[in-house]
Amino acid sequence: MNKIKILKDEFVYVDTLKSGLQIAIHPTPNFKRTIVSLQVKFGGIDQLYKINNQKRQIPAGVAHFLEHMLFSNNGRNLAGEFSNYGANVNAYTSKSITSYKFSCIDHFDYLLDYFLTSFIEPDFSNKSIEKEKKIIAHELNMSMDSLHHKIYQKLKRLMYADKAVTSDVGGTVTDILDINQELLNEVFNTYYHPKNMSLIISGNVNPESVINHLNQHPYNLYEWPEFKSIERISDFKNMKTHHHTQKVKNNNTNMVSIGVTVPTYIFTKYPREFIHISLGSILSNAFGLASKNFDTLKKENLMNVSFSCNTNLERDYGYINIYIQTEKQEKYYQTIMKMIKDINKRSLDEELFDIDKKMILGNYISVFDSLSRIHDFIASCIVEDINLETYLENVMNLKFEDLNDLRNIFTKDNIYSVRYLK
Amino acid sequence: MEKPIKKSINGIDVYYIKSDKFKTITWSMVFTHEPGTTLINEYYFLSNILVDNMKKYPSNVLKYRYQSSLYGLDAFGSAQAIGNNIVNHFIVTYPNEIYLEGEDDLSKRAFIFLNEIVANPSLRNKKFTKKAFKDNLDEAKELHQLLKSVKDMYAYYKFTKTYYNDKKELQFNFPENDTLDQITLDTLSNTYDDLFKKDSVSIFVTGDIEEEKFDAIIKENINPIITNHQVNKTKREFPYSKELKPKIKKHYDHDVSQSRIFIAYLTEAEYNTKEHASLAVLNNIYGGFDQSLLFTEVRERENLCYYIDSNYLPEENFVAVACSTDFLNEDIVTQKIQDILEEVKIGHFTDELFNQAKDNCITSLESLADSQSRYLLQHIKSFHLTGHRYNLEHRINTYKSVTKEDVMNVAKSLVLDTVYLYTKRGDTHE
Repeated sequence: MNKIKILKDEFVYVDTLKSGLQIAIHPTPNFKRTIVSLQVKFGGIDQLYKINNQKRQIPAGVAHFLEHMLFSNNGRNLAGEFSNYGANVNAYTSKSITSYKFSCIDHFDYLLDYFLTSFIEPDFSNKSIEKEKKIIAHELNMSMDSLHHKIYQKLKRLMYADKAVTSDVGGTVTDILDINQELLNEVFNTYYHPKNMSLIISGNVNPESVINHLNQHPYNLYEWPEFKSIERISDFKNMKTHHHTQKVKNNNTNMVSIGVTVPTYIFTKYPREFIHISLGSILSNAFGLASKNFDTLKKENLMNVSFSCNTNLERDYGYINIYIQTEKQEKYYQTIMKMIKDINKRSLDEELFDIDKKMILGNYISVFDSLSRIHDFIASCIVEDINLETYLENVMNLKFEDLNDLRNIFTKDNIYSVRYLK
Repeated sequence: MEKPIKKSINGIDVYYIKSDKFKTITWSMVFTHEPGTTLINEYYFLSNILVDNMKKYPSNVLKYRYQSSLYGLDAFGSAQAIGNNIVNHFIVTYPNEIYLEGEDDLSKRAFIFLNEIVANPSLRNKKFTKKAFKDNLDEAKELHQLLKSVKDMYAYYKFTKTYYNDKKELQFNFPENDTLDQITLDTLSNTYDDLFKKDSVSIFVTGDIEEEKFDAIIKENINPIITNHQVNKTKREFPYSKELKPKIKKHYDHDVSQSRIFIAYLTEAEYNTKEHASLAVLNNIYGGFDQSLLFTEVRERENLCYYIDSNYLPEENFVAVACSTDFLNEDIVTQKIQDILEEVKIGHFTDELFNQAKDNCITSLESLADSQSRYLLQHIKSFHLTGHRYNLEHRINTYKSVTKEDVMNVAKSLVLDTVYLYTKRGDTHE
């Protein structure tokens, strides 16, 4: 077991079990709750892959469907059992991963055992598959009412040609009709192997006894077949049309959504943490609260509470999304587009870059006040193979000139926009 | 977390809530206004305009760079109702200096910054500038537009308007859109003056702190304009009657793909009583979590929806059910929601569900101590409404004492107040 210092008085213990399951334990003895999550490297994008040199295409929405099904496999009621012990369990699927999470105060050992047992030899009944199709159809229909969802989907379809990238994580109502028992078993056997998963634990636990306990667990002792490496196939080719404007019926406000794609070479050229830290720093410098651009937008009344600027970094691709709802869409659009293109042309603000480091350090310390935030941070570092031990040091050691290469992505070739007008 | 320590410094009540498990420190300056909703928008505006218009840091660039230099100090204002009084909180949070080298005076600088927010805004002739006022007004209007564009939020907003239609003085919307045009630069500036002439003020500090150091920071740095006054603190009295005729309303929208159903039941329980605890357990049994009757019957067994839940909001005196379903099913679902409550009233729920629901409440309470902000808010509310500290252990014991009969009794006390549907086609009508 490897002990990693992540702050003056905070440590993470990492280990890999015999089964191949990667473990990270963050003891927080003063907290009441314990949070456990199981991360599976199987997400909405995984629709085309090669295994044993055989190409396999599956419908959109399978990872999400499987996530729903694992709550009731083998006739068990995962959520019900957790409720019997005052605990709760939940899950979500993103483009890159499926994540199962439970939180409890007592009965940790029992719940951990029960939780892990759900991921050995599942048995999905046809009845429960058909039931889940109806529930997921309701879930998918709900998002049809959201113009925010629609403009976001439209932007993704402008940025990427591959439907596996642009499709909704849940697929469509038509996609899920094709899902059956055989398919679910096949993808479970492909992706839900311990070597493709990691278990993260944060809370009032003793790392050594947890590891001893896990070593003896049937999940770890199970005769797992050999893990066959999965070659994921995605096409991150960009589209030719970059900008789209349309009037939308019954829309009471203008919506402007801008995307900047991060070229795929960036993901092979730089370590993951460098991309996170550098992009964060560039965006803070360009559109953060202390930036000159933010001040300008505010002074010209082009900024409001709906403004957001987010980075979305998936496994092999990523993009920045800048969004607003505004009455002054034309002036806003012209101004912000110029600001985005200027990131590449003009020098960033070095003074702000230095001050930002203090803010990042403060934010990093603050994350430890929330068990779920620190848990999620550790989990994402483990999944993305980011070095927890050197993360903060890397932030502090980042130099202004290190940002130069990533600044170059802000060119017209990578910029896309969608405007929905009222 | 330790029990709060109450002190009086310069005539102001100061509460220290010490805990060595958190790595940040929070200062909260709390202004309590006279009861009532007349100046609700003025109080809401103050929570934003003071944070955004500091005389010492006249631009965002200057202000946020200073905050970044204080290790990302987070500063914000909020307005909320506690009982019948509106309360303005001004809060700063920053990492504890014990984690930073050579930053021993960080808490002092943070407190001075908080004082600058509250007591030194950018004014012209003792009034906020016209631009600052207009910016805030525009932002409030934009917020309403934003609300309209998110169907779920807008449907909920319209539902609460229906619920409060016969309780107008009791709704605390921040901002209150119906009266936005009544706020003026004068009313806003006068309300700001009242912070120091009429309002009650108290200070809460949470984190791993040394009392003596913080006593000295307050004594030496509090702006003398900030003084404490007596304010009449009252509870919200909801009209409760078994004879109540429910309000039934459908709102039609051409552009929705599913019906949103909201059903509100009026309660008569008082804050932090045994009935409050029983209602929280009842709410869990009814629709509060994924083993509840609504979830297992309507979603899991009948597959009529993706989400359905109930919420008990003690401040609003209601238990409200929210559900999204296909239009064709809206009448069936509306009826089922009401039928299931009838089942609870006669005790048609298992002991297993009762125990799960109770344990779920207790776990939620126990984990309160894991959140500095939630724990702080409970204390602020408790001191305001009862004059005493929030006693977590006592609350947990109260929940433990709830019986199945208690749940049936509070279920029987619920009165159907509102049935609201946000649905497709036609024109809005009562």
